[in-house]
Amino acid sequence: MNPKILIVEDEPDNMETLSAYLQFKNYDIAKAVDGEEALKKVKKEKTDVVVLDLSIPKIDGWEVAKRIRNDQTTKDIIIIAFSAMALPHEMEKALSNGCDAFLPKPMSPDVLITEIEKIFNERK
Amino acid sequence: MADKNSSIKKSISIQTKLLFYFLILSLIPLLILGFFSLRVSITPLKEYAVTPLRNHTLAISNHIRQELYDVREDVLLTSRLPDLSRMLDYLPNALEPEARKLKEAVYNDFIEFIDKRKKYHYISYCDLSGQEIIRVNYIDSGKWKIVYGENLQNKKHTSFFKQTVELGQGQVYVSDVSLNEEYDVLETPYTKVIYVSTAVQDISRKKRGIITIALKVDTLFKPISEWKIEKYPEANNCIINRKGFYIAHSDRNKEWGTPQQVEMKWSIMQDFSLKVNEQLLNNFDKPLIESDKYVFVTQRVFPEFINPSNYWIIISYLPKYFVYSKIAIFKIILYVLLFFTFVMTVIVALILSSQFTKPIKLLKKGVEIIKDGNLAHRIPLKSNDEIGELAFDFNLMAEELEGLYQNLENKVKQRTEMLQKAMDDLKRKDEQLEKANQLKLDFLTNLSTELRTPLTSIMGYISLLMNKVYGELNDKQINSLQKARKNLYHTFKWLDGIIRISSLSAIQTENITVHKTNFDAVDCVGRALKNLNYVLGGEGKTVDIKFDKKEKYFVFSDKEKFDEIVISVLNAIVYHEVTKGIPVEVNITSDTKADIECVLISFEMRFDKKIKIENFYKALVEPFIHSPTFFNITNLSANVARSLLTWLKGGLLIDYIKKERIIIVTVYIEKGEAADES
Repeated sequence: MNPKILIVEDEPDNMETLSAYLQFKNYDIAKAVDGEEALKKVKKEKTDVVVLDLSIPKIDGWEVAKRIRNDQTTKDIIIIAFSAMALPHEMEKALSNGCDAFLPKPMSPDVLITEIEKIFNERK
Repeated sequence: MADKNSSIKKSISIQTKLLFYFLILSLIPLLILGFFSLRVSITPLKEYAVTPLRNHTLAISNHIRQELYDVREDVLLTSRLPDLSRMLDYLPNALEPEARKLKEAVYNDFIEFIDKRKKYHYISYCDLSGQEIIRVNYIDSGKWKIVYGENLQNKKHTSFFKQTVELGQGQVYVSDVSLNEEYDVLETPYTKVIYVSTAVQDISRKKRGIITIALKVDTLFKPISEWKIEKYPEANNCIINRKGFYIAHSDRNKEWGTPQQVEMKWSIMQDFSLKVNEQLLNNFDKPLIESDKYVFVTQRVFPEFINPSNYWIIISYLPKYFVYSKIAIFKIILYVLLFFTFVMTVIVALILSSQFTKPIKLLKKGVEIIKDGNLAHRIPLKSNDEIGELAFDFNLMAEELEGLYQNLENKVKQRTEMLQKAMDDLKRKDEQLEKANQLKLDFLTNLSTELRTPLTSIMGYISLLMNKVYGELNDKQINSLQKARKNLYHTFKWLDGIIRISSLSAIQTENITVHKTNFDAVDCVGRALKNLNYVLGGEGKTVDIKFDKKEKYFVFSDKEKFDEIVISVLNAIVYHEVTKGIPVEVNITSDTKADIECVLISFEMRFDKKIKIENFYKALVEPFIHSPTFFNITNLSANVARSLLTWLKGGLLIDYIKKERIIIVTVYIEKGEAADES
């Protein structure tokens, strides 16, 4: 059974391409367009992986990652952050907030799949 | 500092030298004079000290000489008495009454003598057979006794008789001191006498007998016991014979009075050391003799006057400390005076040297105050000598210096104000620059974001199409999409490189966080190569990279930045046109660089002769240049790696071996330990 992936992205085109590609690869997906929705759905949808854009409305991606990590029920969820802010200090900030991986934009969906599989393999 | 120390040394040495000179000039003559005076004065002082002893012995000697002289005169006079001559002439043929008369005349003469002198024990006349003919004894207190008939003795066996009968006319015999004998036995009570005798001749010069006067020694040696030296009443006096026996002593206990006592050897041998005795008995050239305890003064006296072999020695002696006590006091006084003078001289020398160096010290102190910055200080020295002139000149100089310094201070103040203003400007500009850098960084961040977001969706759509998510595509369509993605990647890499290097230059070094840990470089390089292959695959590119390192090489660095460095170096290599199809051999070793143990990751490429690699090499080594010739991904990525390595205290080396057409790109970074990884 493939893991359930929550895609958190406010950019509709990116949301479309990522969700289409992940569904094409037989992943079960959920979508959220801002931080609040992401925090609600991460519990509700029993998510295994959160693909998190860091620049999202209401609650930013770093805070979302932090809250997921601090919640006992969601602390083990894999968080793969991606951001257009690809400078090294942005990456450091994401990792220090609890993200498992950071993918800089532009990012091919293939890379995302590879990273998810890599983390799953490491956890096994 | 060294100058200051040396000047202090000089200052101290001037006073010390002056003190030394003063002491040399004053103390040495003083000490020489003092000790010379002491030495020179001691001998006369000693002489002076013993003079009373010497005079005393001399007086005793004179007394004995005078006494003996008187006795000699008496005995000679007696031998020539007319009554005695008459008796000698007439007695042999005279009848009893006549004979008695003749004898009575001689008796009377003898009585007159003995009564007058009161110091003779007896006077006698013996004929040549030794038989006493006439004899008068002195009893005591003006009483005398004529010895008659059977009481007259024969003295022929006595020493003095034997000696005297041999003498010529006018010669006198003086015996040693002895106890008087009568009838061949010692007279009691014991009486010490000296026999003074001379031969008696008749008118025809024919020897007829001897006249003997027995002189009582007590009278002769009376000064020994009775005379006192006014200055040294404690002085001991004695007379010894040639063998050292006391024949008279101021201490009666030491004076012999019986034959037994003579046998007990009442002599100087009992009282003094052998060395002193030797000197007392033989050393007459040196009348002053000193032992450890006593001072002796000796004087010889010759009882027979003309016979030098017969003598007595008069000795006066005192404990040494008593004689020389005043000399000792004199010495102490002189030493005290010398010491006092010495102390006074030192004090005076100190005062004088201090006085002489005081102006110099004042001058030096003033110089130090001025040197410390108080240019208003003036040396308060108003002497008329050279130092005073020097101080006056120095004050003038200080005054001029003060003026100059004031001028200089104003100038410094002006310059300081200008400098402060410049620094404020610089600070303001720095703040502006920092603000500008922040704006630049914000702009680059936004630019990066704005570029990456649409590119992500474009790449996503291309991936969807290429993966046939939206349906089948023909080969031409897929080929076109691949080309589109390749050009898209190239454009992105190019723009991203510009943004990356611009942002690196905008970030202040102090704002960079370097989180160093120990990790395996082989693992990092392996992952980077895998990722690169994946990315290149996505772009439809391939690269031949040989890397089969199994051994671990730990580095101590920031892992994320190290990843970025490796990726940047790989980008620099693989995104240049000359490296297409060229194998890249990756090797990891360790070595020392700039005295630091480092891990070296090298990327070696061997090129064919047909390929021009100079531009590739140039792009690797040149700094970031906004020039169409060098502005490419290789140049950008190499400089990104170089910048990051600078922060991590590592380096990037580019080796170009022209002959073999090899280019080696080497990253070196601080070697770590396995601790963190484990």
